[in-house]
Amino acid sequence: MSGGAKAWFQSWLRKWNGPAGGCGAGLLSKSIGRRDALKMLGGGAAASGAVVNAFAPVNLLSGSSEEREKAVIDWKEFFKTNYRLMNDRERADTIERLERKYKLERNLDVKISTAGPLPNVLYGYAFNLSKCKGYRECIRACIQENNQDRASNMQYIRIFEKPMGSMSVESGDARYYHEVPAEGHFYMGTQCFQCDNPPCVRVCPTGATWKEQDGIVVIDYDWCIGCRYCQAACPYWARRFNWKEPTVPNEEVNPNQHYLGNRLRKKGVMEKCTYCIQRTRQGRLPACAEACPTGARTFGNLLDPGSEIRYILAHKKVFRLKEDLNTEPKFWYYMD
Amino acid sequence: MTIQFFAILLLACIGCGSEHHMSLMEKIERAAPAAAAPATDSGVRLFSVLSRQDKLAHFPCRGCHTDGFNLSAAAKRPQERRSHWDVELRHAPADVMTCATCHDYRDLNHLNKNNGEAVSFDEPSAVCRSCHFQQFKDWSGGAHGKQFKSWTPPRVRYNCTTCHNPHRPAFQKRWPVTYPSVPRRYP
Amino acid sequence: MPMTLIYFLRDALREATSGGRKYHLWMGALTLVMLTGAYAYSIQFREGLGVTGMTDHVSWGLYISNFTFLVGVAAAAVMLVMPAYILHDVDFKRAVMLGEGVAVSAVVMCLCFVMADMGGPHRGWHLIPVIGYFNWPQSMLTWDVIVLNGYLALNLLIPFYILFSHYRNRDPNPTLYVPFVILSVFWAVSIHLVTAFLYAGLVARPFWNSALMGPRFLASAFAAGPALILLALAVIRSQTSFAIEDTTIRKLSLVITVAAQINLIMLGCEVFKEFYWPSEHSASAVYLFFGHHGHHALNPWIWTSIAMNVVATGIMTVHSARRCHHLLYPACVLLFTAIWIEKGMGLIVPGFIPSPLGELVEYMPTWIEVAVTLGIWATGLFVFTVLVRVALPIELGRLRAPGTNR
Repeated sequence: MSGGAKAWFQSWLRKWNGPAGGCGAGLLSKSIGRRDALKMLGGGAAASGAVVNAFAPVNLLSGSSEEREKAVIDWKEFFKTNYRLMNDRERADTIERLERKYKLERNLDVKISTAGPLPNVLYGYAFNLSKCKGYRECIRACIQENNQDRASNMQYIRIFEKPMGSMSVESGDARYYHEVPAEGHFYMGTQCFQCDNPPCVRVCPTGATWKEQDGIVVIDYDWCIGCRYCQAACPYWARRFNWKEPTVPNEEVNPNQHYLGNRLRKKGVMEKCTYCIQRTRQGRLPACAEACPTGARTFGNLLDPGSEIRYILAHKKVFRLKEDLNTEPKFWYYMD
Repeated sequence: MTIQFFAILLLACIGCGSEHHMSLMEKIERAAPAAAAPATDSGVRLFSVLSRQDKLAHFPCRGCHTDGFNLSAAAKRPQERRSHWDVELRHAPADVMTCATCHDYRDLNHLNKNNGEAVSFDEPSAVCRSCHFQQFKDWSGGAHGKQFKSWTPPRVRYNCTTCHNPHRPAFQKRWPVTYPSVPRRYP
Repeated sequence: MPMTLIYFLRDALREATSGGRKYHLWMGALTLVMLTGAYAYSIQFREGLGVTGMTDHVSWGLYISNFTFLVGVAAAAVMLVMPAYILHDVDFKRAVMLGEGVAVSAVVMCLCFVMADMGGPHRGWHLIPVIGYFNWPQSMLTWDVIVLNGYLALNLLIPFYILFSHYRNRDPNPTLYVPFVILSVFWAVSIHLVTAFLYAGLVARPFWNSALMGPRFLASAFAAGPALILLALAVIRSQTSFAIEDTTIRKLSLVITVAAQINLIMLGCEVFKEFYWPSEHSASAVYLFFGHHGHHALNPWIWTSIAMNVVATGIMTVHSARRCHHLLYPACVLLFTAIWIEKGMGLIVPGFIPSPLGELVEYMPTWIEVAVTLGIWATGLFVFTVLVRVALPIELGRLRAPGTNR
């Protein structure tokens, strides 16, 4: 490559890597939102250019030592394998790279865990329809805990306001905004039900999503190719796609993360509720269950006969959504 | 033709993976058979509850109410009720309950059950169950109330009065939470 | 032999890059559309799929619609291959090269549409067996990857072998290629069935979760694909000296007619099932045909499609009308467009509306999506033109390897 061509190539690369999304952004009607979102980041651009960096080890040859380090990280990250196929050493390496990457790119100190499933544990969730009042405290806790994209207002949980007298999915309204509970209505929360027989897992062409031993359906965000087949396959509309680079302001990032849980995502990959894998594998409750002010949410170990969830299954009349599909959700509804 | 034959054969294998002949509940039962749960009235409780006494602003009550409380005498001096001016009893009709239904007038540091037995503020469920026996049963098992922070044993549950204001136990109407900075937008 | 291959490639390149003013205008126009598409795609690649009209509710749109439709077009090449190579039907033999050209360009477009729809196309290598993680046989998408690439290879290799033999002035050896032809016939059926199973296997979407999906895909494909081939033949007939017999057109139009009739019957079956007793599972069909809760975006599309479908099938059903080329060609255009709408705005998009939780969010493609889609169609036409441009002179005997007898 001649000197001039190289200089041109580098300036082109910089354009792609630039914090404002580069040229052409002004052509888009949606670019305003993106700019605002990036302002929220306080100038620290997310990894929008990581893709191109991975292809172009130009920064390896020139640039500051930090740029070189970033390029090496991006290169190695791009060629790492599926999380399930990694050995412990490879897992430790990628954690180290990711933590360093956030430090370099956003000056963020995060702690990413790779904690595996606990023995003899199968997570289950119960939702008391008589108790939910539609306050949506769970949604806020979920967003804060799981570092969801703020710009698109991504939410894993949906609370449906349903008129008394109907259980039909069509009768629900998840966009209500008025004082709650509304007269003559009840509230039904949905999220990923961590099916025991998950259709999303079967359809994934790259095996980027799977069911862990403790029953949680997880996604390897770095392995997902973004075909969205799982999104079409989910009967509970539980999966979300990052249509743009997700934005979370530095001061709002939850630094306690899990590789398969709430670590920062990138554009073009799927994500979903993981029953807060980063919390539950430490014995804590999912953020939604902890935040619920009415006690409508109960979480526990299905393999522990003394657990609350087992009591509910044994003593209350429970049902699951679309049980006829044989998806075996591990999320039960019940009433007082 | 051969391709399609094998395709169908393979699909059949995918569809009927041996794992799914057993339902989830069967699997759970097989892995961890349900133990006989202790009866609600056996007095055995497999969890502890959050303390309540330390959350009370005026506790100990006997700081003022040094020697019990005389309701009929107090009724004659209504101006002295101002120390508890904010308490409005919206729990049950007045002909069903009064302050004395729960508060032990002989010793205001305690509550009393309906058989007159004194109960600590840390154990309000003993009082509530007098009427709310079904809720108490659910709470004892785990179908009512809230777990505290963890799903693992040792289990800690919220007290009745952690969530319910005993003077006004129903949850109130209010606006739902919005998050993040874009209100009224639920995609 | 290797030298002949180099001559072949050189001659092919020369044929593809030389031509009259009309030809250059055509290729120039295609290139312009392709460049616009590439520009639109560069924006999409940088900003993410958020620049499209797709949302978490309607998560597949124009790209996957076109992909589905084009798999059918590709599969339809078999309608020509089978009689030509196996039954030695002389009429079809003249057209078959073009049919396979259509198949190749359609599969190329399919692959482009899938790439355009992916959130992380640069991570596409995760799909490659051994170095990636190929979730076969569980995922129907992996089946599709296999059958599409296999079909592309078959449809490149068979015509290449025949053309190359003719180029060397030899007769192709049937024992060498006929087994592959037979394979490709079954392969063609399977690419469209597998693509139908891609949707039919989703219990989450009752609109797709139907056994009729596969057969209906085949019927509509065997109407739309040959319709396109017939139109291509008509253009080639009028623009080049490549002789296409009337009987070829007649046979082809009969194939189209039967397929279109079967497709209409199946449409009737679906409509009956959805509307004789509309259940909650019929919500998508209700939305598609009549609108639901005040949302009507797809109604004009589907009724246009049905009207075109009925008119075209009607024209073709009448023998005298079908034989009249002034009626046949417009009928083919109508049928092709009708089935294109039916597979996209009439099948893929309504499958997502309402969502599995009953929420109704509509879909409208953005200019970026439209530009990328047009760009990919231009790519397909470009590939097809080049293939025809090379194949025709060889088949006409004009182009032969140096040193072979003319």
